[in-house]
Formats: sequence, C-alpha cells, structure tokens
Amino acid sequence: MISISDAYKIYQVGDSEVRALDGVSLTVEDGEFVAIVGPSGSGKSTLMNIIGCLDVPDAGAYQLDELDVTALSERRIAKARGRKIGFIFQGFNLLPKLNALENVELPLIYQNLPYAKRKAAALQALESVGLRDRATHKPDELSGGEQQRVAVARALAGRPSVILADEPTGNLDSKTGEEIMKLFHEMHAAGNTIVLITHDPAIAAQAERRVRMQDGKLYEDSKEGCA
Amino acid sequence: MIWQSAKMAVKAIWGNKTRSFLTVLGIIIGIVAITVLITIGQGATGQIVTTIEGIGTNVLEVSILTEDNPLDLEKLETDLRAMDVVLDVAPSQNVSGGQLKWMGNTMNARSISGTTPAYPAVKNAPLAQGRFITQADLDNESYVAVIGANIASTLFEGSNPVGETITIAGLPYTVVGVLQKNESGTMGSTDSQIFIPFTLAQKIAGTRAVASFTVAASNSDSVNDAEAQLKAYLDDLMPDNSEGSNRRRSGNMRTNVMAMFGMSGGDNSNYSIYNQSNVLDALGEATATLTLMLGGIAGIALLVGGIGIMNMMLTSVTERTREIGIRKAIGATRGNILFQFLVEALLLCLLGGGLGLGISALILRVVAYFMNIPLAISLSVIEMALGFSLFVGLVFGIYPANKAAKCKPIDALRFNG
Repeated sequence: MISISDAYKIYQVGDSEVRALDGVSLTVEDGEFVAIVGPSGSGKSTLMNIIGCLDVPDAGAYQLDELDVTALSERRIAKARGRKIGFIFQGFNLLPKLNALENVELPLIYQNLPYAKRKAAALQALESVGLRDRATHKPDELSGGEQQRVAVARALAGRPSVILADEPTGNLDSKTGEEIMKLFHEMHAAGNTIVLITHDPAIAAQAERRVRMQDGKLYEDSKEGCA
Repeated sequence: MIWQSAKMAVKAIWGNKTRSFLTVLGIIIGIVAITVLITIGQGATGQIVTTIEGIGTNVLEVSILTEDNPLDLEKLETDLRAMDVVLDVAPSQNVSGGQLKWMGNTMNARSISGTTPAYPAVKNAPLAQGRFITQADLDNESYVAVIGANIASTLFEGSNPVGETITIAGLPYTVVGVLQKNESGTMGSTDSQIFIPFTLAQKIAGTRAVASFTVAASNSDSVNDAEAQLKAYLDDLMPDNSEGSNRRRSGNMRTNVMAMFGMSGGDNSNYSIYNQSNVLDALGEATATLTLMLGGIAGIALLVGGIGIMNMMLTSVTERTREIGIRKAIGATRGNILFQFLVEALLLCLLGGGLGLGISALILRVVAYFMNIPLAISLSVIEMALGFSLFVGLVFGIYPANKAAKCKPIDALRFNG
C-alpha cells in the first residue's frame, strides 16, 4: 500500500522556485491499477521518483507498506527500492552486456537470493512474459517489444509490492504497445499493484483509476472498473 | 556477492579489451621494472656473496709489511695455535712461476706457493685425488707438488697426474695430489695454482720469515675476536715506531683505502689484516641501498600506472552513469556499487601484476642466459609485486568507485544519451 500525505518538493531554478509537488496526497491500495496522467512539467515524474524511492519529498510523509520511507537511511531506502518496487522504464533500461536472463536476475542478486532460487525465479518471470526461449539473448538481439517484456519480467521477478511504470509504451509502436498493455492487465489480474505514469489518455483509460497532475497538484479523475 | 562482483568486473574488463589492456600496461611496466631490477640485484649480490663465502667468512688474511719480520714458521704455528679462537694457521710463500712441462705438454704457471698441511682446512680447499703436502715433505724440503684442477686438466688432458713427474721452471717435482675444482668463482680460486712445501719455497726465495699467512677462526662468529687477538699479538711483536707527520698522514690514507676493502692494519703500518666478514657486511649494506633505490625508481613507474587506472576508472564511471542508475533503481546499495567498481580496479591491477610477473620471468630468463648468473624470482618478490598491484588498485580505485557509488539514481537515469 502506498500512502503519501501532503508531500512537497520544491526546486530552485535560477531566481524562481518550481513547486514540483505542492501538497500532494495519494493513497494506492494493494491490487489497484492507477494511472497518473499529466503534461510534462506537471510534476508527475517527481511524484514517480518519490513513489519509487528514488527521491524523498522536502516535506510530508510517505508510507510504503510497513515502511516510513522519509525516515529511512539511504541504505535502507536502497534495499526497500529493490524489494518493494519493480521499475519499468520508457527506454527499457536493460544492461546491454547482460543477456535477458541475467538482466532479470539482477534485482534478485541484490536481494542476496541464492543461485538456484534466483535462476528459477528469473526463468519463471521470463516465462510469464513469454520469453523463456530468448533467455540467452542480449538486449540488442531483441526487438523493442521483447526488450520491454524483459524489463517487465525483471520488474516482476522480485515480487515487488508495486509495479511502477514510466511511459512503458512510449518507445513502442501502437501494436507492440497494445501487447505490453495486455501484460499489464495480466499482472493486474494476478493481484499486482500497478502505478502507471503516462501522458497518453488512451493508455491511461485502461487503468481502473486515474489521477491527474497539474502544476504540482493532484486531482482525482475517476474511479471505475477496467475499461 | 563477492563472486557476483568479480564476474561483473571480468565482464566489464573483457568487454573493453583494448582499453583495459592499455590501462593495465602502466601497471605491467611498473611491475616488470620492480621485479626485474630487484631480481637482478638479488642475483648479482647472491653470486658475489657465494664467491666470498666460498673463500670462507671465518678467515683472516695477514700480510707482514715490514722488512724487519721476526716471524718464522715455528713461532707462527706455536703462537697462533695457542690462541683459543684460532682454528689453524697456514702460511704461504710465493715463488715466481714458470713453464710447466709433462711429457710433450707445456703451459705457464702463474702462481706457485709454498704452504703447510694446514692449508686445505684453513682455506676450505678439499682434495680431489691423492694427498696434500705433509709434515715429512716440509722436513725434507721434498720436491712434491699439489696442483689445481685447471692445471690437471690442461697439462694432463685426462690422464691421472698423481705420481707423475712434472718440470716447474726447470726443476722436477712429483705430483702427489689434485685439488677439487673451485665452483665459487674466480676470486681466490685454487684452480690454476700449484702448491709446494713451505720450507722448499722459503729455500727457493731465500728467506726464513713468514710474510703472508691465513688464519682460520674457530667459526664465523669468532672471526672478529680472532682479529682483535691477532692485532694485539702483532702489535706486541712489531710495535709501530714510525713517528714523523709525513709518514703518519700517508699511513692514515693507506688505512682508509684498506678499510674500504675490508682490510685493517689499525694504526700499525707493519702489517695488514684482511677480514672477509667486513667485506660481506659492507657489500650487504651497499646492495641493500642499491636495491632500495632501484625499487624506488620502479615504484614511480607503478605510481604512474596507478594514475592510469584511476583515469580509466573515472572515465568508465562517467560512461556507465546510466548502468549505475539502473542498478540502483533495482535495489543496488551504495556499498554494492562501490564494491563493484573497486573489485574492477583491483582485478585490473592484479591482471597487470600477473602479466608483469610473467613478462619479468621471460626477461629474467634471457638476462640470466646472457649474464650467466642464476636469476629466479623469489617468493618475496612475487608477494611484493602482487601486494603492490593490489595496493595500487585499492588506492587508485577507491576514488572512482566512491564517485560511482555516490551517483543519485534519478540523475543517473536521466543520463539517457
């Protein structure tokens, strides 16, 4: 469960200050599929960084499951990030020198999982995105859609509390994008909590809940069933 | 985690072969310089020490310089054998050499010395064949000779010299023994020497005085005691009564020069004593200083290599900002990243150290062949070389590794070239 209350993040740009987060409160229940929409500069990336434990708010509280993230040391935050958050990026962000399986294994290595368990979990995750037969391929031997599916497998492998996706279809053509979105629905159906950041209304419409960022403030759009 | 980091490091190093090799080259050159210089230093020192020790570190060579010499053979043997730190004494009387003849063969003898039965024990010169000069030979002033190994092989060309008669400078001698070949080198070697009875040599030279003798101390620890007792004895026997500032000054200068070569006559200009152990000590000090200096120069090469490693690691950190960001996003801590880059630097340096040792071994083989001295890299040099490489890796790896570890994941991920 994500619970952010009254979070502020203010950047100083030259003489003016930019209020990236201006008193944002957001609660995401376990198993929810939430889309955060908003134009660039609206503060949605800042919000994503805070949800993903990549950054901490200047003021306000962030509770992730049992953890009070704002009170944790840098080391504990890094550990929490690895265990609780599964990132999916627009640019895939696979390590180019590792093959698909090794990429999926990486978060498990940082969780100190023993070799056999790690291999099994990584293979299972690859299986769930339908890429088990591509396990030994390097990222540059895979298509964009396949790379993103490896990234999805990597996010899933560590069984995180939250899947955090930043424009996951942004670098893909619409057909491949659809396939990735299908994966998201599957993940959701399997009980995963998903937070999806996008500026594409068509993608956002597929989430069960939509929130909108505008000038550092958060607005609840709607709460409805899966489209 | 260590294993994983090592695997990642190997991948990173291997993934950039050319650059890794060029970076490591600095370390290789540094390690080769250290290893080769120190090993050659050790080898050369070892050989000189072996040579000197072969002559014996428990011996004192004494020369009586005054014309007014009261020592004769009987007095020398009686007085010196009475000293408890003296094992034995062997006098020597050189007579001029000449042509050697046996059957049709001839050769020139450079050195013929008269000595006593004590010689083989005092000078550590064992016999290969036959016997040495005996007391009876001395008493009878017999025309017998003991020859060095080179003379035996050159003059007799393989046949047994013992019992044969050779002609030395026109006089016939019976060969009674052959000395073993002296492996320790050229200095003080007996290989080209001929020994005859001391009394006979004195008769040929026309003297009764003993001008030169070798004293063996009971062991190498008591050599300095023996030297002191010998000095007291000789000072008592022939006090230095030379006055006059001119004589004194030149005497001092001579003393200084002699001291450099391990000789000492004290303030008495009537005799000089040459002490092998002093030479060894002085040699040890000189070579230790030299080795240290060579090591220092090589250390500078290693330092430059280390800076090369740091430079490459810093470049690598900048290039891999995105990788660091991704790793951090999926759960790597600062410690994980620091460790990964540090292991990479350490592995690079160890690789350089290993390659350096390998190349050194090849170079030393060639050098050993041409210099004709045994050169083996000692274990301590291997330990030192690898230790140095690890140290360089640690020192020059920690800063780039720390820089990588400090990358903030958001900044790192934004780096999306």
